[in-house]
Amino acid sequence: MERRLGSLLLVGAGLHLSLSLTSLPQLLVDRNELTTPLTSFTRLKEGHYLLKSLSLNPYNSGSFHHPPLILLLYDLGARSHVVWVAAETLTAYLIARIADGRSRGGGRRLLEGEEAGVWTPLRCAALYLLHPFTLLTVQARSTNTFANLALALTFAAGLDGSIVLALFSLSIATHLSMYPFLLLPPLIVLLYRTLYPEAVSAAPSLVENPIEKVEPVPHSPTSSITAAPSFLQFSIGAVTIFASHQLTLLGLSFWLTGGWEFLGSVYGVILTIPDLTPTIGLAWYFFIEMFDHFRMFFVGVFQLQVAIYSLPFTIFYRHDPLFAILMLVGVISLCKSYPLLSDFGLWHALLATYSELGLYTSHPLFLTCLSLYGLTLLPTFHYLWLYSGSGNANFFYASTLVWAISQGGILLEFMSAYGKREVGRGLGSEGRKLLKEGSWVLVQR
Amino acid sequence: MVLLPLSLLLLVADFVSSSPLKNEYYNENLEITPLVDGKVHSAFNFEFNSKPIVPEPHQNSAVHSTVVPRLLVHLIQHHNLDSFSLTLSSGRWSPHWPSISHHTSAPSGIELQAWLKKGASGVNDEDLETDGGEDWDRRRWSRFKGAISGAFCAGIAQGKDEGDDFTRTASNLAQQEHPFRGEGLAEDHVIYTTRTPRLSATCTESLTPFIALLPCTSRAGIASLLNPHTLFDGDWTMIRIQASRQKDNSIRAMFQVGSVVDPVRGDRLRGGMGNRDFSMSSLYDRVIHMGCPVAQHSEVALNVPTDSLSSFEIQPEQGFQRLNSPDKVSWTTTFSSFSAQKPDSLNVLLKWSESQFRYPQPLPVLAPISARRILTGQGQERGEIGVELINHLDREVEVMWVERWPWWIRGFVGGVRSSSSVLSPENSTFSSQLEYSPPIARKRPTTLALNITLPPKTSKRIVLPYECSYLWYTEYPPDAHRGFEVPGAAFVILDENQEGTCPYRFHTPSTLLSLPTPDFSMPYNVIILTSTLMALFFGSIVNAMGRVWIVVDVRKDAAEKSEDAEALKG
Repeated sequence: MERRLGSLLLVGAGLHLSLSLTSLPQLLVDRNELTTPLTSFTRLKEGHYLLKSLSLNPYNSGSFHHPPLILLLYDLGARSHVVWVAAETLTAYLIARIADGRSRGGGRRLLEGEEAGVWTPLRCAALYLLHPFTLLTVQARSTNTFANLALALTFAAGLDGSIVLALFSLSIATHLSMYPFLLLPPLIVLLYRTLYPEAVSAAPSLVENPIEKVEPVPHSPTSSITAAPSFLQFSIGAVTIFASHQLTLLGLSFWLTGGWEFLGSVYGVILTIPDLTPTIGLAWYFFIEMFDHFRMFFVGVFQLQVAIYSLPFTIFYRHDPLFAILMLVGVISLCKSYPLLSDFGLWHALLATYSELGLYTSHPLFLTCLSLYGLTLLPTFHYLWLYSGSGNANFFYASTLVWAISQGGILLEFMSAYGKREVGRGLGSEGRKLLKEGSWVLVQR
Repeated sequence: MVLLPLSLLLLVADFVSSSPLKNEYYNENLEITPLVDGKVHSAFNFEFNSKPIVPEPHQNSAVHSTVVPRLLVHLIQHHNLDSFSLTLSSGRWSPHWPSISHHTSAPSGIELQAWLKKGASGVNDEDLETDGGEDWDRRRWSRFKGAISGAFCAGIAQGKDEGDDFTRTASNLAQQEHPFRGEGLAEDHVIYTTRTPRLSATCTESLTPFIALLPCTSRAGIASLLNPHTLFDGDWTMIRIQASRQKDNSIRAMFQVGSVVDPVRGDRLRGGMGNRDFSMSSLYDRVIHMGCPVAQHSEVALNVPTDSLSSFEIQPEQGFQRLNSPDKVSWTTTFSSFSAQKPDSLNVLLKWSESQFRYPQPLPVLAPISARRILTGQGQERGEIGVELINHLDREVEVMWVERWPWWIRGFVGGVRSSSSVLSPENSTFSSQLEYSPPIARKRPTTLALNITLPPKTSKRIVLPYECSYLWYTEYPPDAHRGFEVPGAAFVILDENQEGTCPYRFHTPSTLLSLPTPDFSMPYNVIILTSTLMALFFGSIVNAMGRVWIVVDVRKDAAEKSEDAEALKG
């Protein structure tokens, strides 16, 4: 498997690099589906020029919203496509490890008939590395690649049980894009379950759910001699580790940029959405068409929409925290203030690690077609609005609505597929046979 | 017309720095210049000087002035200004016309400038808690802006848009572009400028209060020729009001109106063949019936086109004197000379002997340096903006290029493209000479200043890529699809041997830029649609999590149902 994975990664990297030699980077560098004001390579170049040649603080200059770590990376020479390709290849490898990590130790808990639906780690990595979103993002050199890398590292380390690596990389991901801190609760649950499986099965469940049955996971990385800490102690410790790393990063940024302006320029922009450049999300048009009186309220509503799912997903999927993480990654990609196609690329690849749920989805073809439809409409209407002038902004807004419906639909599909599968697991093999025949039907009430 | 050497161009009207006169006087004059391409330039100047009448801001003494309009005294006293200058201009001063620095260099649109003494207080400023400083200056400036905007109906005070004003005190830019010429040290004063790049800034609305401030208004003297219908029908128009406080608290003011009209076009409109003869009645539709009794000097001057190949005649033939220059003749129109003269009106006329005007090819270029604005690009999102400079002289000239773009144009200085290698972003001399202040959205405009050396007889082109920002709903003007005006570039010729005189400044006209606009009829619809989507999403997730799954048996046979009910429990 390793050899095939290695050759896939090589082929993928080669494809990325050869595409970067065409005129594709020039065409894609400012496309709004691939880059936002927070991740644009042009602005990164400009900010660096202001810093180095004109000795101006880029964070005081009003249009530079990259986090200081990215500016440091650029300063150290990360300018060519090779760096981006290397980051994406590493992310693909980590996704393969995540898929592998699910299979390892029986975490997958497959039912009969599902083995055919499982995608090998090789396939998951291929989905990410050869995903058109990833390909185009690398050509455009959008800096979201590094946030994706940090996220993938977090999940892979979480599945492995390395606390420090997982939390540190989550902290880096938060520094780069701010929303990943919402993944901290499910990550803590994941780490706890991976490290102390015996403590988990012994603990009483929060909600009495007769259908869910917890099977103890045989593989445990920690020695059974040491007593497992309580969940509360563990989570406090994890939060402390995360917070201390984050504070270190903030201090490093302060030292690098010589002031606290970067906070307002990076995180303030993510939170208050002043820059209304069109993206594939819904926030830009919503706030363009808003009277100033209501701005603050609706900005709060939008941020709440992203943040509010973190704890409920953690609690509801506490027996499978990786699924909670997966759903949260989807919610963040969908509802964040400046979404990008590369977020969705990562999410699709992570969905592939739960590919066995595809057997329980109810209308996959519709959603796939809707996504392709949205993807066709987005660049077309953008061109019609801004270049040929024969359409107006509503066209592009409508295509963002279609895209939001399609991706939201996929997320909801996976949630109900998960629910159906878990019910089926509780029914026993006889019951599942009846379900398959169609004599029994699952209904939500 | 001969090409005027650079030194002549810098002579005129730096009245702020000349010695203050103790007497009170009012001078008016009109200078008419026929231009090479058949057009006619009229320059009206009205100069005032007052006795020492400006009291201190908090003094309550009465102000008595005979000649200087009360409004000017009021403005200077109440806001404690040193000097101010308001220029309204529309059109483009062609490089084929002779340029006189102070009269013809006007930024397209409205420009208001004022020098204030730092930290001083205006009339009603005793109630401020802060102890002087920038707050007080800003307050005085915005009050003054509102006052003068109302006085001249010029629409200067934008109110919300803070990106208009900016101050310059001790930077290189300030020293060269607006050197301080008043009393005292430059460091004690601050200049505030606001520029509105409106495309048609000169208007009857502003001319009417202007005329009302003149002593004889439009009844007598040269001001009776100010006819807005004909003046603003021209290719280039300008209205300027300047006032300054002298050391002895007297006021010196200069009012100017400039206009370039096209008699050939007027002739064609009347059915003629296109003749460039003109007279005061054909240019302004009026003649001077009576001289202004208040004016000390009042004269009409005509720049005679002595180097023209065609022959011409000038009327009235008597009553004019030749001034110092052989090219200029002038008629006085003071009250006394008028009544002695006998003719009851003065109508200056220039008649050419040709029947139809032939446009000379090629037109001689009379400006030392000409510039034009370049805006290229595809689509409304981004493009390239820059300038092209042409040096017509035989020697090297150093020019300072100054740009002030509104905050919604984001220029990328790192992507500068130029026809010369010296002006590329990697070049260290470029970045060391560039004074750049990037825009901050809704707070600060872009300011760019760069010294460019132009070799003789060459042209240089400098562009940089820009990106348009997307405005909030309430920031769009009522007609957003018309476009947004971008101020023209300003150029200052830096010449070492011109110490003590006003630096020669010229501008490119304002341009219109189309910004991407949303659909303004959609606020309700967008909020409804997006909120519906968010609510449906939230509701579906709560659904998926909160509801219980139930197995329903759809078979008809009851016996099988009870068997499998056992299986369910197992």
